[in-house]
Amino acid sequence: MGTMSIEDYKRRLEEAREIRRRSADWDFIEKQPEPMKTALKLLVETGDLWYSAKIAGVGLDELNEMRLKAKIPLVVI
Amino acid sequence: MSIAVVDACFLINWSRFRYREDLFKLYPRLALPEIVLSEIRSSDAKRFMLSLATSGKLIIIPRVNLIDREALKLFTLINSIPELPRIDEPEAYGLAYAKLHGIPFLTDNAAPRIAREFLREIREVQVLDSLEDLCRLYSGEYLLLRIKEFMRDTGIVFSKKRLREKRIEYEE
Repeated sequence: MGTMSIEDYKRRLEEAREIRRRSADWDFIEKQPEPMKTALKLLVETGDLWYSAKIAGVGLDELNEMRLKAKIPLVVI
Repeated sequence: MSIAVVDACFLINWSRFRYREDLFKLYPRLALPEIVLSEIRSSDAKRFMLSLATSGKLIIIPRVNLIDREALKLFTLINSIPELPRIDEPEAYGLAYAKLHGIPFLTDNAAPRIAREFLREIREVQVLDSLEDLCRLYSGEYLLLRIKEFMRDTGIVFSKKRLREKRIEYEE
Protein backbone atom coordinates (compact mmCIF):
# COMPACT_ATOMS: atom_id res chain seq x y z
CA MET A 1 0.00 0.00 0.00
CA GLY A 2 1.10 3.54 -0.55
CA THR A 3 1.64 6.21 2.06
CA MET A 4 -1.89 7.62 1.64
CA SER A 5 -5.16 5.76 1.81
CA ILE A 6 -7.76 5.74 -0.93
CA GLU A 7 -9.94 7.82 1.41
CA ASP A 8 -7.20 10.47 1.58
CA TYR A 9 -7.07 10.60 -2.21
CA LYS A 10 -10.86 10.79 -2.44
CA ARG A 11 -10.82 13.77 -0.07
CA ARG A 12 -8.20 15.46 -2.20
CA LEU A 13 -10.17 14.83 -5.39
CA GLU A 14 -13.27 16.32 -3.75
CA GLU A 15 -11.29 19.37 -2.61
CA ALA A 16 -10.03 19.79 -6.16
CA ARG A 17 -13.59 19.67 -7.46
CA GLU A 18 -14.59 22.39 -4.99
CA ILE A 19 -11.69 24.58 -6.15
CA ARG A 20 -12.83 24.19 -9.77
CA ARG A 21 -16.46 24.96 -8.87
CA ARG A 22 -15.46 28.04 -6.89
CA SER A 23 -13.01 29.38 -9.46
CA ALA A 24 -15.14 28.84 -12.56
CA ASP A 25 -16.70 31.81 -14.32
CA TRP A 26 -20.23 30.41 -14.51
CA ASP A 27 -21.62 33.35 -16.51
CA PHE A 28 -19.00 32.70 -19.17
CA ILE A 29 -19.73 28.97 -19.17
CA GLU A 30 -23.48 29.46 -19.49
CA LYS A 31 -22.99 31.76 -22.49
CA GLN A 32 -21.06 29.17 -24.49
CA PRO A 33 -22.77 27.29 -27.29
CA GLU A 34 -23.18 23.54 -27.14
CA PRO A 35 -21.28 21.26 -27.00
CA MET A 36 -18.63 23.50 -25.40
CA LYS A 37 -20.92 24.42 -22.50
CA THR A 38 -21.38 20.76 -21.61
CA ALA A 39 -17.67 20.05 -21.98
CA LEU A 40 -16.79 22.88 -19.57
CA LYS A 41 -19.35 21.75 -17.01
CA LEU A 42 -18.08 18.20 -17.26
CA LEU A 43 -14.55 19.45 -16.79
CA VAL A 44 -15.54 21.28 -13.60
CA GLU A 45 -17.00 18.07 -12.21
CA THR A 46 -14.36 15.59 -13.34
CA GLY A 47 -11.18 17.65 -13.74
CA ASP A 48 -10.40 15.35 -16.65
CA LEU A 49 -9.67 17.30 -19.82
CA TRP A 50 -9.43 14.37 -22.24
CA TYR A 51 -12.56 12.66 -20.92
CA SER A 52 -14.61 15.88 -20.99
CA ALA A 53 -13.48 16.68 -24.53
CA LYS A 54 -14.20 13.16 -25.75
CA ILE A 55 -17.64 12.82 -24.17
CA ALA A 56 -18.79 16.26 -25.31
CA GLY A 57 -17.21 15.93 -28.76
CA VAL A 58 -14.89 18.96 -28.73
CA GLY A 59 -11.17 19.19 -29.44
CA LEU A 60 -8.79 18.54 -26.58
CA ASP A 61 -6.76 21.71 -26.88
CA GLU A 62 -9.81 23.71 -27.95
CA LEU A 63 -11.31 22.78 -24.57
CA ASN A 64 -8.05 23.69 -22.85
CA GLU A 65 -8.17 27.18 -24.41
CA MET A 66 -11.78 27.62 -23.32
CA ARG A 67 -11.22 26.36 -19.78
CA LEU A 68 -8.56 29.07 -19.34
CA LYS A 69 -11.10 31.68 -20.42
CA ALA A 70 -13.68 30.07 -18.12
CA LYS A 71 -11.15 30.23 -15.26
CA ILE A 72 -11.33 26.50 -14.57
CA PRO A 73 -8.03 25.42 -13.04
CA LEU A 74 -6.61 21.95 -13.50
CA VAL A 75 -5.82 20.96 -9.95
CA VAL A 76 -2.83 18.70 -9.38
CA ILE A 77 -3.48 16.84 -6.12
CA MET B 1 16.80 8.72 -17.96
CA SER B 2 16.89 10.29 -21.41
CA ILE B 3 13.34 9.66 -22.56
CA ALA B 4 9.89 9.91 -20.99
CA VAL B 5 6.39 9.12 -22.20
CA VAL B 6 4.16 12.16 -22.10
CA ASP B 7 0.39 12.44 -22.26
CA ALA B 8 -1.30 15.01 -24.45
CA CYS B 9 -2.60 17.20 -21.60
CA PHE B 10 0.86 17.39 -20.04
CA LEU B 11 2.36 18.50 -23.36
CA ILE B 12 -0.40 21.07 -23.86
CA ASN B 13 0.23 22.45 -20.36
CA TRP B 14 3.98 22.73 -20.82
CA SER B 15 3.54 24.34 -24.24
CA ARG B 16 2.20 27.39 -22.38
CA PHE B 17 4.98 27.59 -19.80
CA ARG B 18 7.53 30.34 -20.46
CA TYR B 19 10.41 28.03 -19.44
CA ARG B 20 9.08 24.97 -21.25
CA GLU B 21 12.49 24.21 -22.76
CA ASP B 22 13.83 23.46 -19.27
CA LEU B 23 11.88 20.21 -19.32
CA PHE B 24 14.49 18.87 -21.74
CA LYS B 25 17.18 19.21 -19.09
CA LEU B 26 15.42 16.26 -17.45
CA TYR B 27 14.34 14.39 -20.57
CA PRO B 28 16.16 15.20 -23.80
CA ARG B 29 13.41 13.35 -25.66
CA LEU B 30 9.68 13.01 -25.10
CA ALA B 31 7.58 10.20 -26.52
CA LEU B 32 3.96 10.96 -27.40
CA PRO B 33 1.51 8.15 -28.21
CA GLU B 34 0.26 8.35 -31.79
CA ILE B 35 -3.32 7.87 -30.60
CA VAL B 36 -3.42 11.41 -29.19
CA LEU B 37 -1.46 13.11 -31.96
CA SER B 38 -4.52 14.16 -33.93
CA GLU B 39 -6.04 15.74 -30.83
CA ILE B 40 -3.40 18.44 -30.60
CA ARG B 41 -4.66 21.07 -32.99
CA SER B 42 -4.46 24.48 -31.35
CA SER B 43 -1.78 26.94 -32.37
CA ASP B 44 0.28 27.04 -29.14
CA ALA B 45 0.51 23.33 -28.53
CA LYS B 46 0.86 22.50 -32.21
CA ARG B 47 3.64 25.05 -32.64
CA PHE B 48 5.42 23.63 -29.60
CA MET B 49 5.04 20.11 -30.91
CA LEU B 50 6.33 21.04 -34.35
CA SER B 51 9.34 22.82 -32.87
CA LEU B 52 10.11 19.70 -30.81
CA ALA B 53 9.79 17.52 -33.87
CA THR B 54 12.09 19.81 -35.84
CA SER B 55 14.75 19.69 -33.15
CA GLY B 56 14.46 15.92 -32.70
CA LYS B 57 13.08 16.18 -29.16
CA LEU B 58 9.80 14.44 -29.86
CA ILE B 59 9.16 10.90 -30.97
CA ILE B 60 5.80 9.40 -31.77
CA ILE B 61 4.93 6.03 -30.24
CA PRO B 62 3.20 3.93 -32.88
CA ARG B 63 0.05 2.03 -32.03
CA VAL B 64 1.01 -1.61 -31.79
CA ASN B 65 -0.70 -4.74 -30.49
CA LEU B 66 1.80 -5.42 -27.73
CA ILE B 67 1.16 -2.06 -26.04
CA ASP B 68 -2.54 -2.16 -26.85
CA ARG B 69 -2.88 -5.47 -24.98
CA GLU B 70 -1.02 -4.17 -21.91
CA ALA B 71 -2.98 -0.90 -22.04
CA LEU B 72 -6.29 -2.74 -22.18
CA LYS B 73 -5.22 -4.88 -19.23
CA LEU B 74 -4.34 -1.80 -17.15
CA PHE B 75 -7.43 0.09 -18.35
CA THR B 76 -9.68 -2.79 -17.25
CA LEU B 77 -7.82 -3.42 -13.99
CA ILE B 78 -7.86 0.21 -12.84
CA ASN B 79 -11.38 0.97 -13.99
CA SER B 80 -12.76 -2.17 -12.38
CA ILE B 81 -11.87 -0.82 -8.94
CA PRO B 82 -14.57 1.76 -8.15
CA GLU B 83 -12.51 3.34 -5.36
CA LEU B 84 -9.80 4.38 -7.82
CA PRO B 85 -10.24 7.37 -10.12
CA ARG B 86 -11.10 6.42 -13.71
CA ILE B 87 -8.20 6.15 -16.16
CA ASP B 88 -8.59 7.24 -19.80
CA GLU B 89 -7.60 5.21 -22.85
CA PRO B 90 -4.59 7.35 -23.88
CA GLU B 91 -3.32 7.44 -20.30
CA ALA B 92 -3.56 3.67 -20.08
CA TYR B 93 -1.60 3.46 -23.33
CA GLY B 94 1.13 5.80 -22.05
CA LEU B 95 1.27 3.95 -18.74
CA ALA B 96 1.54 0.60 -20.53
CA TYR B 97 4.37 1.86 -22.73
CA ALA B 98 6.21 3.26 -19.70
CA LYS B 99 5.76 -0.03 -17.86
CA LEU B 100 6.96 -2.20 -20.72
CA HIS B 101 10.04 -0.07 -21.36
CA GLY B 102 10.93 1.03 -17.83
CA ILE B 103 10.75 4.74 -18.56
CA PRO B 104 8.91 7.55 -16.71
CA PHE B 105 5.36 8.58 -17.56
CA LEU B 106 4.59 12.30 -17.35
CA THR B 107 0.99 13.26 -16.64
CA ASP B 108 -0.86 15.83 -14.56
CA ASN B 109 -3.86 13.56 -14.11
CA ALA B 110 -4.11 11.93 -10.72
CA ALA B 111 -5.48 8.57 -11.87
CA PRO B 112 -2.22 6.85 -12.95
CA ARG B 113 -0.32 8.17 -9.93
CA ILE B 114 -2.97 7.00 -7.48
CA ALA B 115 -3.34 3.63 -9.22
CA ARG B 116 0.39 2.89 -8.94
CA GLU B 117 0.17 3.48 -5.18
CA PHE B 118 -2.31 0.65 -4.83
CA LEU B 119 -1.60 -1.82 -7.62
CA ARG B 120 1.51 -3.95 -7.54
CA GLU B 121 1.24 -4.49 -11.33
CA ILE B 122 2.39 -0.90 -11.88
CA ARG B 123 4.20 -0.18 -8.62
CA GLU B 124 7.54 0.05 -10.41
CA VAL B 125 6.37 2.57 -13.01
CA GLN B 126 7.60 6.08 -12.37
CA VAL B 127 4.62 8.43 -12.76
CA LEU B 128 5.56 12.10 -12.51
CA ASP B 129 3.47 15.25 -12.69
CA SER B 130 4.49 18.84 -13.37
CA LEU B 131 5.18 19.59 -9.71
CA GLU B 132 7.63 16.69 -9.51
CA ASP B 133 9.39 17.92 -12.62
CA LEU B 134 9.55 21.51 -11.38
CA CYS B 135 11.04 20.26 -8.10
CA ARG B 136 13.66 18.34 -10.02
CA LEU B 137 14.51 21.33 -12.16
CA TYR B 138 14.68 24.11 -9.61
CA SER B 139 15.38 24.69 -5.95
CA GLY B 140 15.04 27.38 -3.28
CA GLU B 141 13.61 30.74 -4.32
CA TYR B 142 13.79 29.81 -7.98
CA LEU B 143 11.52 26.87 -7.37
CA LEU B 144 8.88 29.03 -5.73
CA LEU B 145 9.12 31.60 -8.51
CA ARG B 146 8.87 29.00 -11.27
CA ILE B 147 5.90 27.33 -9.57
CA LYS B 148 4.08 30.67 -9.51
CA GLU B 149 4.94 31.31 -13.15
CA PHE B 150 3.91 27.80 -14.15
CA MET B 151 0.52 28.17 -12.46
CA ARG B 152 0.01 31.60 -14.03
CA ASP B 153 1.00 30.47 -17.53
CA THR B 154 -0.88 27.16 -17.60
CA GLY B 155 -3.93 27.63 -15.38
CA ILE B 156 -2.80 24.65 -13.31
CA VAL B 157 -3.17 24.80 -9.54
CA PHE B 158 -1.05 22.65 -7.27
CA SER B 159 -3.04 21.70 -4.20
CA LYS B 160 -1.86 23.16 -0.89
CA LYS B 161 -1.44 19.67 0.55
CA ARG B 162 0.79 18.66 -2.33
CA LEU B 163 2.91 21.79 -1.93
CA ARG B 164 3.19 21.19 1.81
CA GLU B 165 4.35 17.62 1.18
CA LYS B 166 7.12 19.08 -0.92
CA ARG B 167 7.86 21.57 1.89
CA ILE B 168 7.00 24.47 -0.35
CA GLU B 169 5.62 27.52 1.44
CA TYR B 170 3.26 29.07 -1.06
CA GLU B 171 1.24 32.22 -0.38
CA GLU B 172 -1.52 33.13 -2.86
